[in-house]
Amino acid sequence: MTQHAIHAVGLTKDYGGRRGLDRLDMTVEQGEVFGFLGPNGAGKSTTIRLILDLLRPTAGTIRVFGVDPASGPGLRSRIGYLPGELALDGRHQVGELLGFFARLRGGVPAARVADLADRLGLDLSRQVRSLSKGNKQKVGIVAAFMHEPDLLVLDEPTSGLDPIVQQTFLAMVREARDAGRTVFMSSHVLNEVEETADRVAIVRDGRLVMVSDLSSLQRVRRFEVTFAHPVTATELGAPRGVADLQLSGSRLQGTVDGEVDDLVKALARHTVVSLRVEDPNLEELFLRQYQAPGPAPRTNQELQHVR
Amino acid sequence: MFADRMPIAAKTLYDARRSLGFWALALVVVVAVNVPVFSQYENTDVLTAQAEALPESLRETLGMDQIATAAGYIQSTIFGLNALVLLLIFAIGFGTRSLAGEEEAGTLDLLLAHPVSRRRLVVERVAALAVGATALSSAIGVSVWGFAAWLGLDVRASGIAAASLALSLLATACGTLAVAVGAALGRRGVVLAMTAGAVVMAYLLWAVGPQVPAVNGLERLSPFDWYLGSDPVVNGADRPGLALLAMLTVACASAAVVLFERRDIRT
Repeated sequence: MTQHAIHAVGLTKDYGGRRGLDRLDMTVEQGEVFGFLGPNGAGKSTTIRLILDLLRPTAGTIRVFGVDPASGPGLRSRIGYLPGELALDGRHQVGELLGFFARLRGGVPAARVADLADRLGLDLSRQVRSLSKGNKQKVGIVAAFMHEPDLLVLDEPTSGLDPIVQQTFLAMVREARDAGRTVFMSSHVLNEVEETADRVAIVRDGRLVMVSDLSSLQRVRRFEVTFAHPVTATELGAPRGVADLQLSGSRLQGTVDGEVDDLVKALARHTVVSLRVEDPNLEELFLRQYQAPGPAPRTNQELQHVR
Repeated sequence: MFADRMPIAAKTLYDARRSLGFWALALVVVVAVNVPVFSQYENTDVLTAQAEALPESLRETLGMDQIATAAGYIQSTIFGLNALVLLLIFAIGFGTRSLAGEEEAGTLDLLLAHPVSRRRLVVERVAALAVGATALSSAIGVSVWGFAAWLGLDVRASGIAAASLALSLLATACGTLAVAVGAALGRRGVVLAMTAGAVVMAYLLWAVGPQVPAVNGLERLSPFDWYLGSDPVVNGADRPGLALLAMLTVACASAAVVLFERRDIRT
């Protein structure tokens, strides 16, 4: 089978005037972990809900394993879905609710459900209503994974999970990939997908702005320093990768691209009261590549060079 | 097993089990309060005097012309008013929650991401509604029969059964109308208001229509006429009426499927 797992051509979705998705072209291959990044409201959930036939495209086509999602419910037995805004029926015990979802799929071995719950540290006898956000998210994860689907569609999967459970979850994603399954995973944070994704797509305002290997993405970090005394720009020099410098008295702000080593060494010549470096920021990444003055978007090869 | 063949209907009823219990209790209380009133006033002028306060044609539609008989009294007060109103509130509420309520709560997203067609969801929800409405109208029928027998009232069991069956069909039809409006609109408040409005209009058409020359004769089109027009408690089952009520449910359910399959699910 050489079918694409997901193949969208010119996929467009209008919400009564407001454009949710604008001529999106995207191909996800079978067996890869595909990270789908973008700020909130960029069209990630719209794309995902089109895959599941919860929405119908305004224009363009989408095929999942070569099949139109609107053609019938059969396709959805091959998909495991974790909604971005997970709402669960609170009146049930966790095991009861998962049992209901399993029946909708014609049955799932109870041992597999128990095993997944065990790995995530989810108590099947708890009332869903009484669960914390993170524990509810675990219920959604079990529901998505329990039938070992060919395609996992996960919308902001790690939201609400503590770091340890996040690691367990990411291990589960890797195992799914190693078993030949496809994972389509959205996030608004780069870190969340960089550990697992083979490729990432970035959407913004309903448009796909780039697809690339993670290794070719540049890492731009915003930083903020407070010195004990005012510092002049000449004293600072030009550390490698630093841009957008704003110096006002003893406060310095800017961004650094790639390693922070050169910047730290330049700062160290002065008395530093506080230093804050944010994690690579997706928004920053777009702005640098698509709105910065200068030549048009750099290609992946050039980006590789920059790193 | 039912839970495997129709998991959604089974879960819907299981989830509603407590609510159904309370509704049944409330309905039995209503019957328990109303039926003994008749034996208290039997052979007095109180009931007829009350009925005579109404215009003649309205009196006839509402069965008040027969209020001095046990069957006529049970038909007009219980099947024509108290239990009717309660069962319709139950059914419309149930129908509204079926699609619009779940959509607003956000739980429809995950449900429909399973290999469940929208048609199947509608069918299973209407099936659950029919079972619930039938259970409650049976509670009405059985308690009416029990109290009537206890008090020695002259009412035929077949008449009570006919009216209960017709009531369950009417309630299912009205609830399915709410499902259909929900299938089109998906907003709980709007669905509730529109369905209740339509049902009240149908009731008024039946009750008051005969006195309004402009709509005279149209009362035959009201589902309430199919339900009580032939005085089932007195005369027994009205087959064409029952068939029309059942067809109304099928029509509403079909419309619900068509409307629901066409549109986006809201978040």
